[in-house]
Formats: sequence, C-alpha cells, structure tokens
Amino acid sequence: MTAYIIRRAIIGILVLLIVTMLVFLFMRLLPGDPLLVYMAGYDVQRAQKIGIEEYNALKHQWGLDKPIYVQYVDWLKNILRGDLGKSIKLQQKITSLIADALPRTAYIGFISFIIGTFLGILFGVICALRRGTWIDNLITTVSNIGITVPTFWLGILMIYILSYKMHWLPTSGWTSPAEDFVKSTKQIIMPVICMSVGSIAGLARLTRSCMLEVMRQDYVRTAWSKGLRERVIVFRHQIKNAIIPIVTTLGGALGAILGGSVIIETVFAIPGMGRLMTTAIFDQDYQIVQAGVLIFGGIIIFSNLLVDIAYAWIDPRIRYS
Amino acid sequence: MAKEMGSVPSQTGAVTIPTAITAPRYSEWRRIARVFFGRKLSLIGFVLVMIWIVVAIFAPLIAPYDPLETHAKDTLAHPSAKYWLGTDSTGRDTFSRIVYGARTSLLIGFSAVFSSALVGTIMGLAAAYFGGWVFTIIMRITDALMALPGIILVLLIAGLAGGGIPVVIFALGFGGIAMQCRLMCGQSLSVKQNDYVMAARAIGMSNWRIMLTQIFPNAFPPLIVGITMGLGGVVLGEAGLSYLGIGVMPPTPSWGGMVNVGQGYLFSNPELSLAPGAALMTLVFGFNMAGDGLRDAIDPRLRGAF
Repeated sequence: MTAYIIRRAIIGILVLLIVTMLVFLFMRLLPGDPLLVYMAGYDVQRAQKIGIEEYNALKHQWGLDKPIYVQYVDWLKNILRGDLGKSIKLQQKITSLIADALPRTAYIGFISFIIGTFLGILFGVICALRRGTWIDNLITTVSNIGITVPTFWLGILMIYILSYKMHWLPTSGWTSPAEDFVKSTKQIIMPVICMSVGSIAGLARLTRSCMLEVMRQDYVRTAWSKGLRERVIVFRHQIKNAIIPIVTTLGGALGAILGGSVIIETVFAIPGMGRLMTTAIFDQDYQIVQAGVLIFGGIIIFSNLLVDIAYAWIDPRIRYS
Repeated sequence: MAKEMGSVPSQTGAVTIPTAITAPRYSEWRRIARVFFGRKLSLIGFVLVMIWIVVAIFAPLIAPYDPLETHAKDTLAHPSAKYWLGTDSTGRDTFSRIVYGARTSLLIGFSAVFSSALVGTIMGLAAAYFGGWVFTIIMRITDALMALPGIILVLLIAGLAGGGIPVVIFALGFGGIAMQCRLMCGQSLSVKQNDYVMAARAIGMSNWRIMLTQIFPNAFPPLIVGITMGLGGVVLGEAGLSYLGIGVMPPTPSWGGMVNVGQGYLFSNPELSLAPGAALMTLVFGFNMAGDGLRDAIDPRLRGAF
C-alpha cells in the first residue's frame, strides 16, 4: 500500500510539473503582453507611444527578457521558497492576493462539495430503491435538467426571483462568516446552490445506475433469501458495493466545482480565486495566472490522489494490479 | 427513464468479460435506432436538437428582423406583438438575436467537437496500438490537460488569444482532446486483443493500415456517444466564455454574451437575459438526452465513462 501511494504521489507531482510547463509555454506563445497592459491599460494609442527603452527596461526588471526555460526554472526555485512572485498589473505580492481570495472560494466550494456529494448519493439511492415510482421520476427528471442548466443562467434566475421578487436574499456580494455570520450565510445560499446543482444531479444519476446494477447481483438475491433485514441489505450489500465507482468520480466533481467558481463568482460578485483568475487572464497577468494554475491543479491532483488511495483501500484488487 | 433497464441487452447477463463491442452490422444499427427512438427522453432530445438545427439553417426566414439592426426609437422595449421578446439597449430584436445565436452555438459546437474528436482519436489510437513510451507520454499529457478544470484551460487559451469565433473553436476543441483520447484509447486497447488484429499483423499489414481499417471501425460506436455528449458540454462552454466576455465578440449574437449584457437590465427587462439562457438550456438538454439514449442503445456498459 505504501509503495502504491508513493508511486501515485510521484506521478501526481510529475503531472503538476507538466501542467505548469504547458501553461508557461501557452502564456508566452499566445499574443498579449502583460507589460503593455500594465503601462497603457487597454488604450491602443497610449501603447503605441511607449518608448522602446522604457519597455525594455521594464521587461528586464520583470525578467521577461530571459529565455523561457530560464524563467521557468527561476519560477520553480521561487516557489520552493514559498514565493509566488508579484502581480505585474496590481503590483502586489501574489501570496497575499491568494491568501485573501482562496479561503472564500474554498469555503463556498467545500460547502457545495459536501452538500453535492451527500444529496447526490442520497437522491440516487432513493431513486434506485423506489424505481419507477413518482419520486424516482421526479428526481430523475430534475437531475436531467440539473446536469444541463447553465450555472450563470440559474444564478441570474435566482437573483431575479429570490432577491428581486421575493426579497428573501441579497442579490450578490461577500461577507466573511467571522464578521457577520447571518449576512454571510444569506449571501452564499445562491452561490452554493449554483455550484452544487451539477454535482447533485450528476451524482444522483450515477448512483442510481450503479445501485440498479448492484441490486440485480447474485449476492443481493442471496442476502434476501437468507432473510436479512432490508436495512442491512441496502447499507451493507448494496450501497457499499455501489459506492466504489462513485468514489472515483468525486475528484472530478471537486474539479467541476472549482471550475464553476470562475463563472459563479462573476455572477455573484465574490472576490475569490475564480474572479482573481478571470481578471488576471483579462489583464494578461502571467504571474497570477501561473500561481492560480498551480493552486487549482495542485488541489485537483491532490484530491485525485486521495481518491486513488480511497479506491485502493476500498477495493484491494486495485493495489495489486 | 423507467424503461431504461428494459433496453439493456441480455448479453450483460451472467459473466461479462470486458471485450470491445464489435462494429454494428446493418441490422445492429437498426436495433440501435429502435432502442434509441423507443425511449421518450432520447426522442425529446433528438427533436430538440433537430429544431435548433432547422432554426439555425433557416435563420433568415424565421427571424423577423436583422439581428444587428438597431431600432433607435424602440430601445429596451418589452415583449409585444412587434418584438416578441422585446429589444435590448440599442433596440435590437431579442427574438431575432436568439434565432441567429443558434447558428453561433451550433457552428462552434460542431467545429470544436469534431476537431477534438479527430485529434483525440489519432492520439488514442496511437497510444493504444504502440503502447510503451508512446502510451506513457500521451497519457501523461492527457493527465496534465485533465488536471485543470476544463473551463479554466479553455478560459486561459481563449483569454490570452483574445476571443473571437475561431479562437473559441480552437480553445474548446483543445479542451476536449483529453477526454476523446482517453475514450478512444480505452476502446482500442480492448479491440487490439482480438484475433483479427493479430491476423492482420501476420499477413504483413502496416501499422497505420491496421489502426485505420481494423481497430478504428471496431472502436467507432462509442466515439459517436462521446461526440454527442461532447456537443452539450462545448455549447455550454462557449456560452460560459461569452458570458465572461472572453468568447464570441459583440455584435455577433451569442446566447452567453446576451445573458451577460442582459444581466445589467435584469430588474427592468428580465427577458433580455433569461430568454437566451432558456434557449441555451433546451439545446444542451437535447444533446445530453440524445447522448444518453445513444449510449444506452449502443452500449450500456459505457454508462460509467460519461
């Protein structure tokens, strides 16, 4: 088991290195220049007036005149020292920008992930156990819509109905839960619904079909004929076996939630990682984008590693293959 | 959905050995069509997609106005007999823009998915057929591409390259390669085990010829499912990018862009942002349900893969 974990961890780090390399390469191959954005904003006329000496001096100052691989190695060295660099546009240390933004995204994302996983599996199990009844049809229909609905549209629809028409919830914004817990909770209700709806729907569909697959296995029939109680059969025989393929998708579900933050934080004006990344991409701010990619990629690779370990722990066949 | 289990072929009965499904013969395609159209949801999905395709093709006949034509006297008009879904802040007819937006969505959707299917298939075939270091390198690249949430990778490419329809197609197509490659690789790996592949090698067929004439046709059916499923995701992705202002550039009508602009007038003219979003939802719903139906008709065992 230890050897397995170490092997997976090494592959994970390798993959993270490849991701950062690809992004590094992308950012420098594609058109767009963070220095021009910094010096002239989006004003083309101002950009044309910038003197070449001034531009080159700035380029040298930010180390952007070195070959790409030197820049990459420098960047890696700084990361090992815990330094993510400085934003070109905002002229601030990226570690402090992320220290502000990441907890907000993590807070909303974590709540959404827990709610999504719990409700998704619960609904899927209910559907499978009550297959063909009205509740199965209802949940299945709603999940089919749930995997489809564009989150930004759902967000706007909720703002229109819940905030504007009903006056139940504030339209947008972010308050720290430590500062004003009630206000903060009211503000994150709609973002959390938007973020978790996809996982709830997706997991409910997957759980339903996994459960139905398990329910017609021989060992389940044996359990029934042995006269075991329904509760024991459902929890010990059915859910326990159906959960294996579901666990493997949880890493992906977390990724989808992190990705969703990019759009949802724009809808609800939440100053989190998603917003930081989007504005940085607009501003061609290399350093923030690289740091963001490192963090998003790191979280996803780490959670996939946890999933792999959990999978090998649940199903011993995996370890030995 | 209630009939779902009934549509599962009995071959998944006793002991299932995971072998690849062989290429459907003519009668097999008819069976697939029967299962597909026999399910209410797949039928609904198919009809929805067809409606939008027809709308996109005949947009000039359906739309009452030019989507770019501004009516200076009727800005921010509410829905009426003249403007079915009202007008935006420059007086452009929302209904006409939604009709033309279908063109944008479908054009980008099909182009992006077909390009990622093409590249992904070649990569997946090569990885599965050659194995060894080719397999390792290709799989590590797809791992890396999948380590970022899809939308972030796409956002990165589209944002840095400056948006516009060709860039969006490239970005979304690039973002889809990893999934198509994985799918093709998995299928090809099991097809490769068949005796006819060994036979082809024994009579001296070249590697590429074996891949194209022996392995590819037999690993093809799941690819159709992958493409249909991918279409829903890509159409949503395009809308998301355009919503963020990085995708299709104005004044070209795109549903995501219309939601973005309309959000500013949400309380006075809700239909400006809600109507294009609803259009988007019906198209994506159509692709997803059609994809579900195809998957269950072609091979229910693929259920975990999508």
